[in-house]
Amino acid sequence: MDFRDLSCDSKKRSHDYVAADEELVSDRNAHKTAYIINPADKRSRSRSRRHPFIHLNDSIPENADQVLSRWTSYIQRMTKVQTETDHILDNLDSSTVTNVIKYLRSASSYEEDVYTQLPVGLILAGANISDHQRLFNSLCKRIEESLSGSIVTAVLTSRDATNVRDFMRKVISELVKQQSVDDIDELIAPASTLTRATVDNSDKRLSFDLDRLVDWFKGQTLVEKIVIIVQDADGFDNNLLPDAIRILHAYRKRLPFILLLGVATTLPVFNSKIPKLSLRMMDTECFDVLQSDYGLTRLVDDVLLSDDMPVILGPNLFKSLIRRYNNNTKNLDTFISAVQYAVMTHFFANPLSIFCDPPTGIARSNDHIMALRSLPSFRNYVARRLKDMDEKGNSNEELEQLHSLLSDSTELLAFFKQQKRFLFNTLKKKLEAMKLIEVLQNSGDVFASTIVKQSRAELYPEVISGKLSSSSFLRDLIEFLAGMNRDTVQNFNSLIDQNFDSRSSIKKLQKEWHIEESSENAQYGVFLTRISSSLEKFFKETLLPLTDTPFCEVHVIDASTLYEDVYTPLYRQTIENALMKPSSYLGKLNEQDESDTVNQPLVCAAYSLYRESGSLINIYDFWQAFHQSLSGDVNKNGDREDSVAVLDKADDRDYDASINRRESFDKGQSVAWFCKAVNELRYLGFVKESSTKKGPASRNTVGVLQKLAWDGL
Amino acid sequence: MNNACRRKETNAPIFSLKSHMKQLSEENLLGLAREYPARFYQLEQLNILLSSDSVVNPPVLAVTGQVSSGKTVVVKRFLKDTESSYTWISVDECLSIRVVLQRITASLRSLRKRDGEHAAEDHSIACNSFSVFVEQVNVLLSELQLEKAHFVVLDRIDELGEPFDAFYQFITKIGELLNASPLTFILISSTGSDPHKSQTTTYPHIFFPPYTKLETTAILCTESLCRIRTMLPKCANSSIEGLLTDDRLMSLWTTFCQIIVDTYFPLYGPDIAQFKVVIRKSFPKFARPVTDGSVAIPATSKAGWFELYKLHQPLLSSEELIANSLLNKGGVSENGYLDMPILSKYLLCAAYLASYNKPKNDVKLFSRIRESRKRQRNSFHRKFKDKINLRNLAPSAFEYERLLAILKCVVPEHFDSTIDIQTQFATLASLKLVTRPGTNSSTDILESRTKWAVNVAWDVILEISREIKLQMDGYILD
Repeated sequence: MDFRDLSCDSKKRSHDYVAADEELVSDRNAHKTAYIINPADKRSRSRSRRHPFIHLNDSIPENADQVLSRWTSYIQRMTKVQTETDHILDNLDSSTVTNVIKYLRSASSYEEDVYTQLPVGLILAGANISDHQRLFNSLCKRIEESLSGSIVTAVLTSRDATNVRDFMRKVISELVKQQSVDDIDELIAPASTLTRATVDNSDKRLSFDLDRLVDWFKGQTLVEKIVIIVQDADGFDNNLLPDAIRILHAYRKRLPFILLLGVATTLPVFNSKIPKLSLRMMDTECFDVLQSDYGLTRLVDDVLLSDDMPVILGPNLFKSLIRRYNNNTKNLDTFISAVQYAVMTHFFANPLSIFCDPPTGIARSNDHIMALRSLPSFRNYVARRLKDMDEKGNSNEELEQLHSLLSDSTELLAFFKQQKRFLFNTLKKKLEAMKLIEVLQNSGDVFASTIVKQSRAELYPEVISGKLSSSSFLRDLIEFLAGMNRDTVQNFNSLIDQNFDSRSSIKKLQKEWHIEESSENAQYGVFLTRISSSLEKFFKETLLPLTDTPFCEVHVIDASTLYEDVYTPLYRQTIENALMKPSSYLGKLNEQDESDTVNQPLVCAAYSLYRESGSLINIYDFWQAFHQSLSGDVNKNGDREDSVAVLDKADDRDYDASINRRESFDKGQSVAWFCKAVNELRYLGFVKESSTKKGPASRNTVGVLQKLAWDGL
Repeated sequence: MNNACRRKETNAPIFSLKSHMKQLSEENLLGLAREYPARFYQLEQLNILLSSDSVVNPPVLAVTGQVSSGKTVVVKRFLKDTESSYTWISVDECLSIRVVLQRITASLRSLRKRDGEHAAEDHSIACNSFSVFVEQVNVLLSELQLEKAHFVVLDRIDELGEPFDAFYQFITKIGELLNASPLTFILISSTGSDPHKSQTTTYPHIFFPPYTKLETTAILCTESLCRIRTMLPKCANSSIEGLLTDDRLMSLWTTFCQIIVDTYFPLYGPDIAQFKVVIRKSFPKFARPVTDGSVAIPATSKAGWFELYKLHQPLLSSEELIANSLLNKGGVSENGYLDMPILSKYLLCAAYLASYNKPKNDVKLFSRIRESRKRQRNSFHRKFKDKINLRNLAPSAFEYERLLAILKCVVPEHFDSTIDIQTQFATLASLKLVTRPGTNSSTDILESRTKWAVNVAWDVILEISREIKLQMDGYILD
C-alpha cells in the first residue's frame, strides 16, 4: 500500500466523522485516558446541519439543496434496502425455529418413565458465530410468543460460566428472576440475593444448589418445561458440558429440563467432545440451519438486483465482495454493510449522484451538466459515433444531434434519461439471461457432469462486464443445448414455465421454438438447431458489457480498492510502514532533511537498525549502533535553534524527549532512550529477550535479542 | 463373573459371625429375592448387618458394585420393607461436598417432631466444613434423642462433581467423631470397590456382582403388564386386542427382551438402564406388525416368530439404537464443513501441520531449498529416535507467526494477510478448534507472541483438507 493512499484514506475517513467527532480526530493528545465532551457545543453543530454529507466544492460547486438531495436519496433508497435485507435475514432461520418449537412442544414428559433420557436439541447453526445471536433471539421471541407460560427459558453463553457451578447458578438466577417479577410470594429468595448468599436469612443453601429450583418449580403451576439454551456449546471448557448434562440428567425426574445446544462446529467435531457416558444420558435431536450461501443467493436476487437498489454494483467490486465473503467471513451482515458502504461512498463523494434519482425540483447547475459531458463513457460514446460517421460517410442529421448533445443541456438531460432507461432495461435482460442459464444448468443431469455449474453470484460479475459472452462456459452451454435429449427438453420447458412470468422476453422466445415439434423424430434435429441458435442470439444481444453505456459512471459503482482499504486493512504492513517512515503519519518535522533520524520517534530509529540486522541481535552492538546513529545525526545538523522551533510548533509531548536530546546528549541518556525503544519494539512483538552461550568457555552468556516478527507475513 | 460369585459366597459366612436380631423373615427375604433376581445374598447380608438396634449397627457400611447392579434399588427396598428410618441423599445431584453436608444436616433437622409430624426441611443454618458438620450433627443428635437406629444413605457417592476421596475418608471415620451415634452411614458407590481400601478398613462391605446375561434377561422380563400395555401401539381392531391376552403379551415381551439382550449384551454389558432405554425405544416398533394384524400373534403360531424376526432384522442390526455417537442418529445432512470460510479451513489445516510437525522440519516440508533435503539423508540414529508417530501424541504448541508462515505456503493462491485472518483465527479459538495450551494465569496478555495448539482430530482435518483439495500427506512426515 502506498503512503499517499493511506493519508488519502485517513482524510476520507476523517470526513466521515466530521459532524460528531472532529475534536477527537484532531486531538493531538490522543493518548489521554479521559476526555471532557462539551454537549452544548454539539447541539449548536447539529442545528447548523442535519446530515453528515459535505459540499464537494473541489469538483463541482454545490449548493446546500444539492447536498441534501444526495443525502435524502441515499437515505430513502437504503432504508428500503435495509428493511428488505432485515426481512430476508430474519426469515432465513424461520424454518429451523419452527422445527425447534415443534420439538419443544413434543419433547417427552419427564414423569412418564424413570428411564427417560435428558432431551437435548442440537442446533447446528454453522461456523458463523455472529449470526447466532440473531437466530437465538428469534427463537426466544418465538418461544415467548407461542409457548409463553408453559415453557420458561434460561439463555447462557460460554462466557457466563467457567465451571459447572457458575452454570447452575446462572440457570437458577435466570429462571427465578423471570418469574419473580410477577410473582413476589416466592418460596425462595429473589434472584438478587442468590448471588449474595449472606443477605438471605431463611435459606442458607448454596446459590448453585438445584434444590432451590425444585422448590421454585413446585410453586409454578403453569410451567411444564424448563428450556436451557446454550448459545455456544463449543466454547465451554473441557468438562463443563458433560458435567452439566450429568447434573441435569440426575434431576430429570423432578425438573422437566430440555437442553438446547447451539453448535457452531460440525456434528463429528462436537461428537468428539462429548464422552460416551454423557451421550447415553442424552436423547438428541438435530436441527440444521440453512447454509448462509442460500441466504447470499436470496440477498443477491431480492436486494442487490431489485429495483430498490439505487445503483448497480460493478464487476470488480462485486467480485471483491464475493471473494471476501467466501474466503474470510461467510457473514451476510458484513456483506450487506460493505454494500451499504459502497453505496454511501458513491452518494457521499460523487456529486453526479444527484442524477440517480428522478429530478425532484432540485436545479442542476451548469457545472453538473459540464461534468456529465466530461464523463469518460460519454466521451467514448461521442468518439465512437464520430468514427462510425467517418466510416459510413457524413450524415448531417447525426452530426447535428451530437452537436446538440454537446451544446444544449435539455437535449443532454433527455439523452441521459434515455440512456438510463436503456441501462436498467439491459440489466433486467441480463438478469433474465442469468436466470435462464441457471434453469439450463438445472434442467439436465448430464450437464452437471460435463461442465462445472456456476451460481448466480459467480455469473453476475461476468455478465455485467460482458466477459461471459466470449467465455468457454457459454460455448459449452450452447453445445449442451445442441445436444439435449428429449427429457432434458421437457424439463427445460417446464422449468421455464415455473420461473418466468408471461411478460418476460424468455417466454416470447419459448413460443418461437415450437417445443411441440420436439416429439417428432424427423424434426428433432431441426428443433435443436433452432433452439440453440435462438438462444445464442439472445445471449449475444443481452450479454454486452454494461460499462460501454454512456453515463454508466453515475449508476455503476466499481471502486473495489476503496472498499478493500476500509474493510480489510493490511495491519502489519501499516505498522511496518509507520515505523519505517513516521513522517507520513506525523507530518514532516524538519522540512530540510528527509531522513531525519533525530526527530523521529525513538522506536523508529531502533526499528530501522532492527531491519538491518540478522535473526539474533547482540544487545551491545544494537545499542552501539543506536547511539552512533543518534549522535551522528546530532553532530551532522548542529543547528539547534531551528529544529527546536519547528518542534515547538508541532507541540507534541512525545517529542519532548527529542527536544531535550539536542541539549544534553550523553551516553546515559542514550541508554535510557535505547531501553525505551527496545521495550516498545518488544511490545509491538518484534523482538524477544534471550541469551546465547558463545565461545569454548561457554560461561560467557551474551545478551541478545531474538527477532520474532517473520518477514512478509 | 464366576469369581465374583465365589467371593460373594465366601463373604457371607464372615459377616454372619456377627449375626444378631433379624428383621426380615426368611420368607420375606425369599420374596424379595424373587423380585430382585440374583440379589438374595446381598439382601441377606443387609438383613444380617443392619437392625433397628443402633448399638449393634456398624457406623458405616459400604455398598459397592458396578454401575447398574441393583445397589440403590435393593438398599432402598430393604430399608422400606424393614420400616427403618432413613435419610436418602443422592450425591450425584450435589455439586460440592458442602451441599452434601448441608443436605444431611437439613434432613436430620427435619426429624425433629412438631405436633407429631415431621417438620419440613430447614435450610436456615449453613454448614461449610467438616468440623462444623460434626458439631451440628452432635447437637442435633442430643436434641433428637433417637431411640432407634437411623440410616443416612449417600447414594452414588463417587459421582460427586469434585474429588471425593477426603470426604469418603471423613465419612468412614465419622463414628469416632460422633458421640454415641445412632446413625449408620450407608455409602453406595460404583468405583469404591478398590480392594486395597476395602481390605484395610474396619467397616463392612457388601459387594454387588454384575449381572449375567441370564439374570439381565430375567430382570428385564419383570416389567409390569400394565406398563407393557402402555408401550404397545394401538391395535388396528378390537379382535386383535382381544386375542392379545396377558399371557401372550408376556411371551411376546419375554422373547423381545431375550432378543435385545442377545443383541446388545456384548456392547452394553449388564447395563440395565441402557437396556431399558433401548427397549422403550424399539418395543413399539417391534410390536407394531402384531398390533396391525400383519403378523399373527407369535404365541398362537410358530410362524409368527420367524416372520416377526425377519421383519425386524434391519432394526436390530442398525446402529440407530447404539448410543455411542451423535452421528448415527441420521436425519441431518452432512454439510457442516462447507459453511466455514475457505481460509478458515486452510488456517485449521495449517494449525494441524504446525502442531504435528517439528519446527526443524519446516524448511524441508514447506520450502524449496534443496540443501536441507540432502542433509537429512542417511541419518541412522534419527530413524529410531523419531519412531513414535507424532500423530499419536498430543498436539504440540506453535507460535502464531509460524502458523502464518505455513499458511502462506499451503494456500495455493496469493492472499494478503489482512485483518480478516486474525478475526478468523480468533473465531477458531472461540470455537475451541485451536486452544492456548497452559492455564490462563500463566499467559501474559501483554505478551507479544502467543502459542497455540490445534484441537481437532486427524479424521476431521482430513475431511476438511479434501474439501479444499489440500494434500495433507505431502506436508506431514510419518
